[in-house]
Amino acid sequence: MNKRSLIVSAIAALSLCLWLGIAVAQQAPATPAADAAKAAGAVAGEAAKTVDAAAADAAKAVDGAPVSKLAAAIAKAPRGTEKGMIDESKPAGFLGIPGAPTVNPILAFCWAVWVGWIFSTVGAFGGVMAGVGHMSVFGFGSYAGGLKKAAPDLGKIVTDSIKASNQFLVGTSAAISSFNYLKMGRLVLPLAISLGLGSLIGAYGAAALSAGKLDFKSYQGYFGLFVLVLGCYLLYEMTPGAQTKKKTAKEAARAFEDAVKKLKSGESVDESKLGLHINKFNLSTCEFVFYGVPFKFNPLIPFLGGICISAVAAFLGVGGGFLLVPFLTSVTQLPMYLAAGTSALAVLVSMVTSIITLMTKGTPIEWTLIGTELVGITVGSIIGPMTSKYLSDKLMKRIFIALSFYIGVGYLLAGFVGYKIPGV
Amino acid sequence: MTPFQAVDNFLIIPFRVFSNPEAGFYFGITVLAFFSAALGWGSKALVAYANRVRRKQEDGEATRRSELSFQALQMQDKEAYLAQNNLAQEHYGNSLALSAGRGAALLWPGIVALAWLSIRFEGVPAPYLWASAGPVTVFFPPYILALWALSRLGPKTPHSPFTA
Repeated sequence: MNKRSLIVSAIAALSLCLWLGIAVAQQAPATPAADAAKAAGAVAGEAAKTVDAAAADAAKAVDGAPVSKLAAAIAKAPRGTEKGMIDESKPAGFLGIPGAPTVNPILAFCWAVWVGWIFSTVGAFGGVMAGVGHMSVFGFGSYAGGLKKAAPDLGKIVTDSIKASNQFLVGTSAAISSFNYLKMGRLVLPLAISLGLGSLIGAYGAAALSAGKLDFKSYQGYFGLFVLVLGCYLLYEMTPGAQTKKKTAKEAARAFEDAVKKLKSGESVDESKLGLHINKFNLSTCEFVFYGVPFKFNPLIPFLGGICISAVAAFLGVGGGFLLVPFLTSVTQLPMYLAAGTSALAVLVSMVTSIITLMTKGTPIEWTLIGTELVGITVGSIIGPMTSKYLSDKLMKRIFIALSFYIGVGYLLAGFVGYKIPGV
Repeated sequence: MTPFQAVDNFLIIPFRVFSNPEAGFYFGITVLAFFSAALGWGSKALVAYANRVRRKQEDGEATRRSELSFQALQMQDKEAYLAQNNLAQEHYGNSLALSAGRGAALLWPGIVALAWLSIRFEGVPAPYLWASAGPVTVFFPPYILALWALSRLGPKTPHSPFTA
């Protein structure tokens, strides 16, 4: 089996897993046997005006019929008008929970345009902003946080749903990139196996261990810590020391470029040395030759790195690709040309595993909201390149450093100390 | 008529083509899956067109740096290799973030179709399948197949709107 067909099989298997995962997740409302008449009724009948499925399921839970995890949590939650209680007199909001915040689709769309704009101009910070939208702008965070004491199970389900929604939005780039690199065949198979296996274990472990157990405040605190670390890294990159280091590296790169230009005239390339040749692969050593230069790494390192990075990414509901490529290029010193494809596939494995695990554990997904947000990201990505020429890169970077510090500190304080600063 | 009802009236049409409800159910979902995939590829092409200059610049620079790093390897210059590799990685990061827009554009129609299916067919089991199988279960296989089939069409130049 060649490399290409192996990758095609891997992606086909992942798609099948996604399908099966959603099929299992759909088991929730216990319907009797397949009933064609019901389908006919739905086809012929009027569409539902508003769906209050979760509340309807909750009523079933009270009757003792088997229901979804969400419905069971709603049924278990205390009724009343106070914070953290289910107010049945109010219309169904997020996930069909009575009294939960209802997101104005225009607001969801506009925020997603902003996220898409960031993705297409500034870079990966869009993923953070997608999380901020779900937690702060749409009000799901304060709602889930308010459920902590009165209805902890419901609060944890809402938190898991926020996490899965974040992953849907940030995972789109991994899906597209994997497809690109699959076509190009840019993959070191032993590395893909060890990294992919590590990612699978890490993502499954983090999602399975945290599903239904993580309350919103803790999630917010850890997410804040992650944003703060990101902000610190961005700030470090702006310091004179880092700038000088970068300048030196750029000068070294330019000097080499000039040397190559001089050498290039009339020089031929030894074709036999081109490409990747794997010489040895076992549990402790992987040796390969790339462009005539030998490389060696311990497959356990990407395996453990895959576990750690995917676990963090799945736990926080972020992509992880921005961590995997620097990890591969710095730890294994693998050429970016090969690291990119391998890491994109690992991110896809991690994301699909995490979403499937959450869904099979009964985490509901608000498809309408995600659909609206994806439309917004699409529009934002079209607007981004048209407007970016009017903005300075340096200024944008400074704005996002300030934002990441404000959001990071705000979420950290709100999550771990219980102190709320305005706007987050 | 609300916007939802307008969309609903349009999307339900293929489900009513056959008088047999089971046939209508499967035919409708298959048409919806292919329509979503086609719309996704169309909007992805639009985003790819809007991003073409920046994408070309980022991908081009990442490729150029990669090639220089290979030359550094050939010349056994590890320092130059690491410097070029690091610069290539920076541009790759930007290119990865850019692909989020194309991914969203490709997938939004499928997710909207899923949202509509779960509203319209709430609690409806798929005929002839296992008890827990619903419309979403039926939707995925033709949707993935359609995405794959459409990816085989169109020119395969590196920055064509039709390439991923």
